[in-house]
Amino acid sequence: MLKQLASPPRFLKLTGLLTPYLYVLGGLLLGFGLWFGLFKAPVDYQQGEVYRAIYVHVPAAWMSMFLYLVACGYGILNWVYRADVAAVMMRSALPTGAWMTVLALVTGALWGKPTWGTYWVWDARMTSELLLLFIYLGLMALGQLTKDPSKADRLLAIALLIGVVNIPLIYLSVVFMNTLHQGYSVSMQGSRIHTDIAVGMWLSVFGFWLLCAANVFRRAQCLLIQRRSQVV
Amino acid sequence: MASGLIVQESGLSAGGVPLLGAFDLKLPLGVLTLLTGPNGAGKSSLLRCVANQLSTGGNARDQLNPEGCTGYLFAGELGLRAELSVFDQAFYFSELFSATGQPLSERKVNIQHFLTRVGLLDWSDEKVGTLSSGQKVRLGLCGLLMSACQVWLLDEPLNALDAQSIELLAVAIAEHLNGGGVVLMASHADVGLLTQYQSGIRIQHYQIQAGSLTLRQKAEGDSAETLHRANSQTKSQAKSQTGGRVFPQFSFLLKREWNLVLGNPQNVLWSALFHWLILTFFGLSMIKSDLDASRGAIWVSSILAILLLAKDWFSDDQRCGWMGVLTQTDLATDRHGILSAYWLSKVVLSIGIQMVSVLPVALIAAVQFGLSGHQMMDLILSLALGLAAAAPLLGLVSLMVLMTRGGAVLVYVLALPLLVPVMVFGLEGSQAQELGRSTIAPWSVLGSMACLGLLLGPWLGRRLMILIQE
Repeated sequence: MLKQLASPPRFLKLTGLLTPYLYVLGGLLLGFGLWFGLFKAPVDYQQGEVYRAIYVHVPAAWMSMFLYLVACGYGILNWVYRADVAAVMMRSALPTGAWMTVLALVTGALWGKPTWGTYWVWDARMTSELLLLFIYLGLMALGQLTKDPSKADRLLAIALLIGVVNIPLIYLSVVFMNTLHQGYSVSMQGSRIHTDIAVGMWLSVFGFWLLCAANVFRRAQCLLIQRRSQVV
Repeated sequence: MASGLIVQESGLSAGGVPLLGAFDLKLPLGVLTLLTGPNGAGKSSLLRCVANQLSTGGNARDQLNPEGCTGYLFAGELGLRAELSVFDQAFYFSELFSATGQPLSERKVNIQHFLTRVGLLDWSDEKVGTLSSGQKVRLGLCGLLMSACQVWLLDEPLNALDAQSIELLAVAIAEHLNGGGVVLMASHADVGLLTQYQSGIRIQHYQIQAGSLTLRQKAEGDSAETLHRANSQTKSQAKSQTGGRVFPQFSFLLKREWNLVLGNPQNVLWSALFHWLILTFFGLSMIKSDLDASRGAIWVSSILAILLLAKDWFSDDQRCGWMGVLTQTDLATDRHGILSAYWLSKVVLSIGIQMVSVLPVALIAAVQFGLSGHQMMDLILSLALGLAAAAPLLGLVSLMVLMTRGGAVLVYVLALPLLVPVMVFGLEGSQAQELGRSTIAPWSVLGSMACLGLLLGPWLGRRLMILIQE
């Protein structure tokens, strides 16, 4: 199964088929989630209407960390199997991840102004998320620096692997640091938020997830075609 | 048993520029293979390609006896560091190539014997930097002679040599060939210089012209019989080398790093000066002394200092060819792990340098800002842990810098965000006590980062170094 997917023509064919559906489905889920969250879900008794940033902020922040792990996973796959498809997937997850990080930071700042009275504080959660953005940018630059693409791929895989320490730091920063950022609302043991809010949020999380996947696939297709045309 | 090596490749290019089409290079045992061609034709690239094939297990590797490694004599990449003494340099070569279980005194006599042979015994206490370029080639030859390598790749060895040195080289090559060795030499100079001293050297001649490799002159005569004998001889020699020592095998690497530190005392002084400057300006800018801020300044300056120094950890060793020699040894002989040991010794000593340079400045700060003994202990401990967590990371980043020409700044942009958590936890560890928080949490985070880095780092560092040499 994995071997078959690693063949570039098969990958192109499959993702070519899948991507439009992912875009449509992701758009629908996100749209429905946002509509539900913005108009149907109840108002937060403490924060008022402002809390509704949650429907973009939380999915974006989750995706920013998740896409890093995805890139890291593909980096390891590329290291082990030297498959072009894995390398291309690793590279194309990075820009999407960087955009998600930007989105999380911006929505966070906009949410912070009315609730905390400031756009930005050097708090553990926010600082580590900002660091993640720098890491993304650094990795993207690193991928362009070496001439030999296969060498650059393996270099990038190692860099990704080193940077992965930052992910648990971001995720756990609200637990072991005193932060202005609120703690977990959703965890394995169940959520501490109203069901309607949770429904809206999960819908938009899945929407984000599908849209990110579609985006990464589309970029991977372009990179793969570009790479193969250079070889020939 | 094959009577030589065959190196085949579908093509050769350097930096994206194609140099050679498909070629088929036959290197018979006991024959000096001469490689000529105009400048930029790809002679050195071809030598590197052969070296790569031999070390990474291409077709050619199977034809070698299993212990037979490849020795280089690349002009400018002999693996010599100017800061080391001639004897020390020869000592590291001998430790690297022949891990015999002899006692130290015997090994030293052995090294002196080799140094006498290349005519450098009188210089053995001098620094390598004071040698002339011809003498450096002699010292490189000394390493080659100690190596018991079956294949010698020589890149323009005749360039800086005087008549006496050429004779020396001719004798060495002739002996090596008689022992069943293979020599591939790229040269512009007239090879008659060599045969003038040793008429018995059999030569075949390849020429690179207009993107293809052609055999111009075949070696005469056949000596398959002597080759077989020689081969089994090298094999038995090699077998006796595989000793059972594990740690002492690599302790010379640490000794080498230590000597390099002694040879570059400015590194320690520079860091100390850097810390002192930061603390001075910091003190000037303050109205009243602030304990937390003084520790913050020391932390920031030590992280910055180690970051700024890190770019040179490996660059000199790569430029002079030492890293290439180590990679070759790691891949082609049974001394796996030598690269990891090298990486680890570099990183551990760098932590040491940083600690030594920050200590006096931290003492000054303690007096200046009135830190108590207890606070001082916390600061020192968290600095030690933090530097141990940061150094492995920087050890890997400084290797990446070598691969990205001109991209050093961007790679550091990548390193800095990863160092920030180290700094935050370190700072927390140094002042948690007074703030009524436990120091265990930040210290254990730093400790586990350090452990992770020191365990995974040598492995990743080895992979990176192999990637660099590819």
